[in-house]
Amino acid sequence: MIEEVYLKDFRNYEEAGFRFSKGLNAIIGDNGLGKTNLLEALFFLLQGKTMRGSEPKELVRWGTEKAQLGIKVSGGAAVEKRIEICEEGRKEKGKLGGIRAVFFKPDDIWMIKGGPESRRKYLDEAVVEIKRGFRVTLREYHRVLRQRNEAIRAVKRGSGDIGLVRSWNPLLARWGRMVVEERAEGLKELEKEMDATTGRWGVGKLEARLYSSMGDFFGEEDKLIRKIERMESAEIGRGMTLIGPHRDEVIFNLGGRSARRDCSQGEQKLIAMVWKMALAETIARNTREKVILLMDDCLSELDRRNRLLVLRELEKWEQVFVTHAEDLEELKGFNKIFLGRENRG
Amino acid sequence: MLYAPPIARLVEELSKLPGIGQKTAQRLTFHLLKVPQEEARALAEAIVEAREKVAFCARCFNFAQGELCEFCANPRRDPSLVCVVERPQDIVAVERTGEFRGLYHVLGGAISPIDGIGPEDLKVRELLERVRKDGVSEVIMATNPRVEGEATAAYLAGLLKPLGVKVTRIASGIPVGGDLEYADEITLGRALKGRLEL
Repeated sequence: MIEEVYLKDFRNYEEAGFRFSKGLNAIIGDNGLGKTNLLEALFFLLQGKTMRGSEPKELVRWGTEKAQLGIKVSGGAAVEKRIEICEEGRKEKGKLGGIRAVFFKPDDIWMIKGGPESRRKYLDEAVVEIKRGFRVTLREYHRVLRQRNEAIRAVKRGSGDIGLVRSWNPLLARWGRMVVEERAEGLKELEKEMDATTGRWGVGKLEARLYSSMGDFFGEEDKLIRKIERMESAEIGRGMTLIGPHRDEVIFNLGGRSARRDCSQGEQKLIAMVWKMALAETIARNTREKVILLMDDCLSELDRRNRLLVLRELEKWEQVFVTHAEDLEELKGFNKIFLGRENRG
Repeated sequence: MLYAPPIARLVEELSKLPGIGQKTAQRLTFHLLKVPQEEARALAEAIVEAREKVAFCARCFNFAQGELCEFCANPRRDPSLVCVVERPQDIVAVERTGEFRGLYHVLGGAISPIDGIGPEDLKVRELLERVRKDGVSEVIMATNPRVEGEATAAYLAGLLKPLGVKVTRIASGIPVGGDLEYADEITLGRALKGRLEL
């Protein structure tokens, strides 16, 4: 677990140190005091990147040269790590082993509300974490897709050779099928964990189904290649590849209702949280590493009953960080950290 | 102007080399200015000699010191077997195995639509010509195991098979997304799982 963290000139923090306890740590403070920034610092220390995709210089407090982060982790022997961030990059001292973080942010609700593309993105981010090699599979598939699309566009323009498009078909089939297969396997692992959570909550079964134009061809590459060939004229007409996992859709249903269409904002937020918790459970099981949950603003928009459901779930974790703008009655008994104006830079 | 013209010129020429940026070019330049005169001259002469004496083999487009490369000129190599590679340095990798006694064909790259490289930019016509005229019985595709190499192999197979020649693809153990030069076994399982019939 994380014992201590130290921040200097990181985001809005001039200089601050925090001690945490086992179990649930509630970080409470008004808007703009740095709740998310504190979680970001923890994520950065554990995962080596920010969950917001920020440039290094955005992490350095305005008007200063470099940000400094330090962390002390226990569980066996205590380990320390320090990171210095400046515009050009970062320097790290020390190494943490066997500990990771999963981040929930309110925007994650877009995995439900958004279009198919955002659901594919969430699924892929999760599968990359739980299946070794999926990153390579995805990269190769996207390379094939870009190349094949370019070959198709050349034919559409009248300057290409259809044989060149066809030479990408076996690759599209092979890598596409692998992406779909690994996505389906990853989703199955996550679904097991999601079932356990929703079962405890009694909110109905949360289904996550993958619909893929390459879904019915497991182990039948020849058939798939023939299907790709049949798409040829349509593809040249549209100037793009029309079959493959880049067009997959993931459909979430909660208790038989469409999560996207029929669920409330609060329910959608619950689903996104269940997803992240399932991801954390799966990572922990597959890697045997400790996974710390960083839950940014996860309680707002929920009614009291759902807040309690979430907190009951989170308190089972070895260590969890929850941020909220106000102190809540439900947070009684947890380690509370109040952010004040004095931390503000 | 930061440097005297001869220095600036050397920096500029060196920075045109692959993998050499402005900073490295400067470092190399200052190094070359410090070494004994003979050493610098030897490097310059080696570059000139290599360029003047090494050309491309008229048959397989490997580097050659005469009209034909060392393999094409060797009567003990089997001309009915042709191994197709992307670049001359891939031949070195295949030769290191000691498993191959045939000849080579260097394409000069791989098909890559996003880079605008098509068959007409590679030695494809020349390969078809060789297969038609030189009594080739088998063509082994040893293009790089990245997607462009695979697509190139598939494309060539489509052109070669109607000529009645056996077309094969190097198999298992090939690294994904890598170069033949740096072959490793880590992705062997994946390569096996995703093996492809041509």
